[in-house]
Amino acid sequence: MDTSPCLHPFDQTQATSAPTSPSAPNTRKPSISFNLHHNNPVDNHASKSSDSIGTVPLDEVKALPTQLVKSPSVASSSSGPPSSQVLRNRMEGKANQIAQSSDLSSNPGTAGTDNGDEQQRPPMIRRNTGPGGRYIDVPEQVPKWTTRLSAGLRKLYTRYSPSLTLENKGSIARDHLAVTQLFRLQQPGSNPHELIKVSELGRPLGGSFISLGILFLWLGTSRYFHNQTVLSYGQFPASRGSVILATVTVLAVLLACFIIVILQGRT
Amino acid sequence: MNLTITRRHRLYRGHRARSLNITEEELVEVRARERTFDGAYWRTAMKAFSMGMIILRLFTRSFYKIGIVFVAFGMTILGIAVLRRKAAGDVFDQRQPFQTAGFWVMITTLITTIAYIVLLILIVRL
Repeated sequence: MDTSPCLHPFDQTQATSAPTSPSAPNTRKPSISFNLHHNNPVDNHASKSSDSIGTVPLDEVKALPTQLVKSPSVASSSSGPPSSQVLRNRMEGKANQIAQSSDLSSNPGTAGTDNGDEQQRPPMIRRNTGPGGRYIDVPEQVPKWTTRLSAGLRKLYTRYSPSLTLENKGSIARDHLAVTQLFRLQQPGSNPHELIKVSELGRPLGGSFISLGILFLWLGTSRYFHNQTVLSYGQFPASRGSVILATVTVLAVLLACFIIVILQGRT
Repeated sequence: MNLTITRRHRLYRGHRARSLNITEEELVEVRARERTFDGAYWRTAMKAFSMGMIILRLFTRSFYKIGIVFVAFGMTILGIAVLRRKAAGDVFDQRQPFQTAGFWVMITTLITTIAYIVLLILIVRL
């Protein structure tokens, strides 16, 4: 045990408390063969074995490392498909123990070889999220630096916030929401000296963007059908012309808009 | 022996959805479907709805028809999304042949073109 310092302490205690027993992998076997049997796409009907699914704890099956499932003795014992069909280990990257044990199993020289599969099995981990999982709240004494940073930022924001906190009475909310009503084309009669030119600009701007929309819509449709025909020959067309066209046209419209606004402001 | 048992759960490959182990290819397939139906059709409908809502609530009364056009467009896209999802077949049943989405693309294009033309007319006459 002491010759393998990179073992997880949980593994060590488990290995020392429960010494090597050859019958332990045999108790694992039914769930593994069930596992492979499950991934068999030929299995197309509800048999009696599917009714016994609920008795097997799903978390335990998913917490098994793929190394254990891929071991040749198990693979030869089951008639299921080979290890390419093995289920995704959803705990990958979530728990450090699994990563550590898979590191151990990747180079078996450092791991204790006398224990075999039993030692490479990670400790039982219950999933925190997803079906069947439960959220375990671990209280923290010292808040992390991220928590402290966000709290400080929130305090800073409440000090220098540009919005006011008002007592909601009468038509306060309505008045302050009406301030947000910025989207309006000025009617020609309302303010004839300044804003009439913006109103003149709005119509061609909207019309040009709508017509650009129609153009890109039909470009996209033609590209779809081009893809549909070309994909059946195993090829895929890269889009160059439509991207350039979109960029150039939108840039032209925006530039024209900008220039018009600048010229109107000058006169 | 033809057993017709009415079950509460829908079965995928003979297993309930919670206890089904999805293979890698099926996962890719499911992701592609979610990208298409939730990410494209549904999102377009939601965008049109919210744009119509913004126009109806915030803009002046002269923009009322434009907002209505947006809402109607969103509803049509939502209907297309539902029908398209129904027509797409089953992930776990690979027996039926795949049919490309050309019909739905044509319908979507026609409806969007009509909506755009109506919008163009409304904006020019505003």
